[in-house]
Formats: sequence, C-alpha cells, structure tokens
Amino acid sequence: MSPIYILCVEDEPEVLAAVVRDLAPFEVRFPIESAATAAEARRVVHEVILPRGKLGVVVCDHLLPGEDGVSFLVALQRDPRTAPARKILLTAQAGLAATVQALNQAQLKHYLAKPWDPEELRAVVRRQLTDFVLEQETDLYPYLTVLEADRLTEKIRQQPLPADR
Amino acid sequence: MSIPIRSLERVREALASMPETESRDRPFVAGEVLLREGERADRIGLVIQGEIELYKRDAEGREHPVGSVRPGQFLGLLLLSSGEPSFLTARAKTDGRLLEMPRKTFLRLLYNLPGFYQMVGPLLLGNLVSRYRRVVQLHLQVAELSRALAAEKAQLQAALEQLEATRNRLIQQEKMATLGQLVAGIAHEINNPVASLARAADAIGPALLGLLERPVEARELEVLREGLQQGLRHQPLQTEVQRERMDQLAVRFPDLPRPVLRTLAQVEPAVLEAFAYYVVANPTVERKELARRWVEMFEIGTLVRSMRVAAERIGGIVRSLKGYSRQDQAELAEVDLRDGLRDTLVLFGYLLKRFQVVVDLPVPLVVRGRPGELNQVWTNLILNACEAMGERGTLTLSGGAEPGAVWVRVQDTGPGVPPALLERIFESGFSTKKPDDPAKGGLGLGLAIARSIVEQHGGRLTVENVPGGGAAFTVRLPAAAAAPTHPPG
Repeated sequence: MSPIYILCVEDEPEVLAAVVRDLAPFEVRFPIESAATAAEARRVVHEVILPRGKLGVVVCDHLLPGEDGVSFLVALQRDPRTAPARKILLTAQAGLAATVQALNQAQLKHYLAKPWDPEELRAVVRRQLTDFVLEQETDLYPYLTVLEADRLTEKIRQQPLPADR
Repeated sequence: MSIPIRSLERVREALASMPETESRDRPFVAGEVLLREGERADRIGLVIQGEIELYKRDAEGREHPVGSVRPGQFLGLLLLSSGEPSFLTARAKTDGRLLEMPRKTFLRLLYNLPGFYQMVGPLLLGNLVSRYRRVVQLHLQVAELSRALAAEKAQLQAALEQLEATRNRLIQQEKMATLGQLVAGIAHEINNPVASLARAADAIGPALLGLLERPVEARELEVLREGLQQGLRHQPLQTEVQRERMDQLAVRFPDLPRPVLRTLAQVEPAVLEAFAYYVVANPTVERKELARRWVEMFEIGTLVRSMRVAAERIGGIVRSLKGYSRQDQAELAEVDLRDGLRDTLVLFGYLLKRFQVVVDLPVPLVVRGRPGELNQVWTNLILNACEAMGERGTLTLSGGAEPGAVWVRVQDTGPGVPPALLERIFESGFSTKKPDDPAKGGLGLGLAIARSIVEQHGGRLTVENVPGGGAAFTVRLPAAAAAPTHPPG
C-alpha cells in the first residue's frame, strides 16, 4: 500500500511548525511533508511524494513569497496526478476575490482563516482525507482508526466480500 | 428724436442765407474723424445727412462707442459753453454732411440775432433731452449689469467651494482606501504570529502535563534542563534541510514515529549523536525513557522560543504602527526618512510578499518634516509600484544624501510610464487602473497627494522610466538644516 501524503505549505517557520504539530495525529497513517514556498512544494510533490505514493491533502498558505498559494493549488488541479488531492487554503486575509478564484479554479475544498482552531483544522483534514480514500482506495480498513470511521464502515459494508471478487 | 428732413433742410437753407452766421457746408466720408478726444475744437456742427459715431477712451486707452449723432443733432454740443478740450472722439459712420459754424459766433448769435434762437433752440433742446434720456438708460443698464455680475460672482464662488469640497472628499476617500489596505496588512501581519503564539500556548500545557505525569528523579533534572535549553536556543531549519535530516533519521531509527523524527531532525547533530550513543550503548528502558523525556523537553523549549518570536513580531508591528500613524502630528520634527520607510515596509509586507524587495538605504536621511505625512508619500509610492508590477517583480528602495538635500527612490520593474503620460500621472484623478476595479482601492489621487506633500516640504517628486523597464519615482527633500518651515496644509 503506497502512502497518502499530507503536504503543508507555509513560509513562516513557526506557523508551519504549528500546522504540522496540529496534524501530527494523522501521521500514524499519513506522512506529512512541508515546504516554505510554492516552488519547493512543487519539487516535494514531484521528487518526494509522487515517486513514493499519492498526494492526499494540501494545506496551503495563501500569501507565499513569489508564487502565491492559490496559483500553486490551481496548478495542482491541472495536473492529473495531483488533481484528486484535496486542497485547503489557509489564509490570514480573507480576500473575497482570491477565494472565489481558488474555489472556481482549484476546486478548493475548504478555506480556513488564521488563527485557526486546531480541532476545526483536524476535522476539515479528516473529512477531506476520508473523501480522498473513499474515492481513491479500495482497502479502507487501515484508515478506520484515523479517519471518519462511520463513513468508511458504511462503504465497507457495501463492498463485496473478498471472496466474491 | 427725429427732425423731419424738410424742416431741417429749411433750417440749413435759412442759416446758410445769413452771412453773419459764418456757416458753411462740411461734407464728410465714412471713417473720417471729425473730433478727437482731448483736442480743442472751436466749431459746432449740425448734422444734415449721415451718421457719426461717438467714442470715449477708458483708463487703459481702449475706445468704447458711447452713442451716435444723427441728422438734426449737434456735434460739439458739450463744448458749446465751456470751450474745454473735446470729451469724445467723433468718427463718421457713413458719408454725410454738416452745417458748421464757429462756436463763438453760434453763442453770440443765440442771444443777439433775432430769429436764430427760434430756429436752433428746439433742435438744441431736443438734442439735450435725447442725450439725457440716453444717460438715464445707461444708468439703468449699468445697474442691471452690476446685479448680473454680482449673481455670477456668487455662483462662481459657490461652484468653487463645491469643487474644493469634492476634492477634499476625494482625498479623504483616497486616504480611507489606503487606510483599508493598511488595516488589511496589519491584520495579515499580526495573524501569523498570533496563530503561532496561540498554537504554541495550546501545545505547551499538555506537553508539560505529560512530562510531569511521572516523577522526575534528581539525576534526570540536569538532562531535562539541557533539553529545554537546546529547545530554547534552537533555530528553525529550512524545510529542505529538515526533510533531508528526517530521511536520514528514518533510515537510522526505523521504529520511531515521524513526529519524533521531525523533532529529532531539529536537534543539533552533535547533541543528537551524544544522545544516540548514550541510548544505543546501553538501551535500557530507563535510558530510552529519559531520551523520550529529553525530546519532549526540547519540544517545550522550541514552543517557548516560538512564542517569544511571535511576541517580538507583534511588538515590532505595533512599534511600526506607532511610528507610521503619527498622521496627526502637525509640527515639524527632525526625522530620519529611513524609519518611516521601514515602518511602511513592515505594515504593507503582505502586499510585498510576492515581490523581491531590495532596500539600499546606507546613510541617515535626516530632514525636517511631518513624519505622518511623509509616510503617506512612501505608502502611495509603494502601493503604486505594487500595482504597476502586478504579480511579480522587484521593488527597489534606495536613498542617499547630497549637499543640502536627501533623496529617496522607489523603483519598480513594471511596464513603466508611457512617455506622453509622464507628467499627467501626478494629476488628480489620473489613473491607469480600470474604473470597474474598485477592489484595488485607490481613486487615482495617490500620486497627486504624494507630490503635494513633498512640495509642501519644499521638495520635489519626479518620475522617470528606467532603461530596461519599470518606473522610478524620486523624492528630493531639503536636508534638515536647509528645510523650510511652511505651515501645514
């Protein structure tokens, strides 16, 4: 089973550390990678994540030095290998225009305003990861303890038993 | 008042037939000057045919038509009794003729020649009456004109006041738009440290509780204190370096969970080696547990450190805000322009994030000025540069001192300014922004406001295109000793 990655992109080291720390409970199943810029994030996706597994969720800061977060998420959406990944924008300024652009072009799944509530961040990531594995994975048992168990069990009940395949 | 031609002709014939009147026919042609203002005239003329226009010179020497003399009317009537220089200039409007006689003869005959007065008296009277009427009409016209002029003046004054009020309102709106961007900037700048502060504070409690769940033995304290100090000293690694170290550690300690590997990656390699040696050399439960607690202590140290960093960041923003917002300070003060430039860069950092920012301000730039107003100049120039560059580019702030003056240049790598518009961009309301894009805030007054503030400080704001693309705005201000002391506003 190839790992499903969580990618965090944030240029402020302390903020990045906080996001990664908040998401640490997922790491028993979903390795977390981090990057400080869109360019580095792109390298991580292509040189670290895709060779080893899949990109499941991206939590991305809005304003990054150089290329901004929305533009990076839009680019991920255009690449068929990363299109299925769930995209979450973490923004310190809720600019309506940028949010609308992201919603429309990147199929942005959620945006969170800084400072975020860690429970809310985890709930959002849990739901998006659940959506992702329901859509992309057939073997759902490994995720039961980390993700939304009731939705996973519901799907498992509908699946044919291994013997029927 | 018109005299029947026939009776006028009779008068002429009668006068001409009396030699003692010394009268003679005097034909004239259109355009001929019959009397000149200021010159003496010793003849009086009765117009028989044609029309003569009268002119009066004003203080500046311009001629104005003031009336005309028609058949049956006298030319030189005003000179009749006084003999003063001519009050008016008379120029023939058409061809015609006069019956002329010497002024003194006319006066003498008026009293002495029987029948003369009967002939010219009614004409004289009619003439005077019609001229008096004309004077009364002119008085009325003057009164009417004065009234209209006063009304027009009042309207102009009202329009001017309205224009000024509109202009002030626009300037106020522009300032509010800038303020809006400033507030968005502060919210953004403060949000990041607040987020990391809040999240670190949330994490530190449970971490301490977890650590203290088991009693700490005295000999362990030294080790744990060392872990805390390492954490406090720790500098965040670049994500790439951290990733590399994490990968190496994952190979070395395949059993450790990734969050622990991530923390270990941040420990100084020499310290980490010492620890690894301590645990690997004798991997007892106690030693492993102590190592685990050391890592936790280290983590607590990093949390405290990031809280301190966040608090410093917030403190810095507040300081910048204090420095920036001295808008109300109307008194002139000696200021180093670099302070205001730095404050402005901090507060608008969120707008500048997508650009490269080069700051080259090596020497103090001391002027006498109003710091709040000057910050408005830097803000407007920097916002203008950001808008010109769009998505990416390099903003260069440079400055220097010259004898008697200091200068600051704000240079962008945008498209530059079309040569034809180089001066127009400082006009009120001139904007290259699309009118349907109010989200960008400005009304096109930013550069006009900047220029007027710089000029009030006795300086100059100029723009030029940079070879290779982009525009450079240069503010030149008198150095502190040479600055003027204009009142504000």
